[in-house]
Amino acid sequence: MNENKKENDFNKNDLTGYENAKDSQFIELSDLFQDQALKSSVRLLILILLALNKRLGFTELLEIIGTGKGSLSNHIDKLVMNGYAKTKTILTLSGPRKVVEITEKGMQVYEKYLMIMEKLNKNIARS
Amino acid sequence: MSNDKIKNFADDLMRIGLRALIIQRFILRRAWGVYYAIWAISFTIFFFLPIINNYFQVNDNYLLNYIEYILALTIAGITTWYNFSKTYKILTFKKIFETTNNNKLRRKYWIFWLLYSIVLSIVIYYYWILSLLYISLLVIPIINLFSLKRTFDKIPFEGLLSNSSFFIACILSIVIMQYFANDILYAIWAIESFIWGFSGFYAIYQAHEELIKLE
Repeated sequence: MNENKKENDFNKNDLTGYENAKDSQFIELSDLFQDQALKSSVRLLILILLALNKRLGFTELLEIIGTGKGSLSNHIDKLVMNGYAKTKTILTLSGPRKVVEITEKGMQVYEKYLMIMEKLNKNIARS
Repeated sequence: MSNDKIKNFADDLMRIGLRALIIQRFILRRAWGVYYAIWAISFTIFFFLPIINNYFQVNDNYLLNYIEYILALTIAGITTWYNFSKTYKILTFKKIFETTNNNKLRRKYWIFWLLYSIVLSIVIYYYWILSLLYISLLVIPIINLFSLKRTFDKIPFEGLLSNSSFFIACILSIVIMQYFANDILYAIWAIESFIWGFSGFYAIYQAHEELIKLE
């Protein structure tokens, strides 16, 4: 009985947090994710990882994202075509290596993501 | 936008963020691997410098010796700094998913390492008292283990191996310097270089263990 009450309270609090977050920035972000290039969770994940590491190798991404080569190429192409990322070939000790780098536009999306998540968590904690 | 839609959307964003955090552990474990490798090379340089100096008969040139050691330390320090440069961004990102505030801790880290480097350089220049140097080095494994614990749920094997052996090597060096010949000291640090080199390779090749947690 008590456990059920706790669970209900948690859900209620959860929702209150989200309700509080319902402001212009949140709507702006959700609008942003209407962009086909960002609609996929894999692409958003790639974007976050690129923002955290500035650049990542194609093989490195293949290893960490866990998708097939073709699928990853597709995701990267979509990010590149929409100006969120760019690809480069750099010379390393083990030969030329294809890397993916985040662009200014990609960084802006990441900043917005950070801002909204921070706000959302604060609201949930407060409620 | 309805509450349900907002909730689902927010849940998705949160899930993606948490996934990114786990992946970052893999990237950070490899960064730690590079760190062990950098310092393994640095220990080796420190080990060979007196031999090189002896060959060129410049062992008595105090200033030259000082510059050599500080240069080796600085290069290793800058490379380490560059290697962990992404950590600040990761901590900012991680903070969003945590309830504790790490800002103060991060500032203390900066101040600590800056003061530590200055004190270490002064100790080397003015005193050249090696036992004092080894005592000051004891701080490094403690800080490292603390950082590793904060980064990973469980301190990785190579982190325990390299840092605990470093701590033991410093203690042994202090004791050996008082009673035994310097040759034993060289042997200890040669072993230590090997352990750190091994830890570097181990961390780089075993980092994928972190990704298993995603499955």
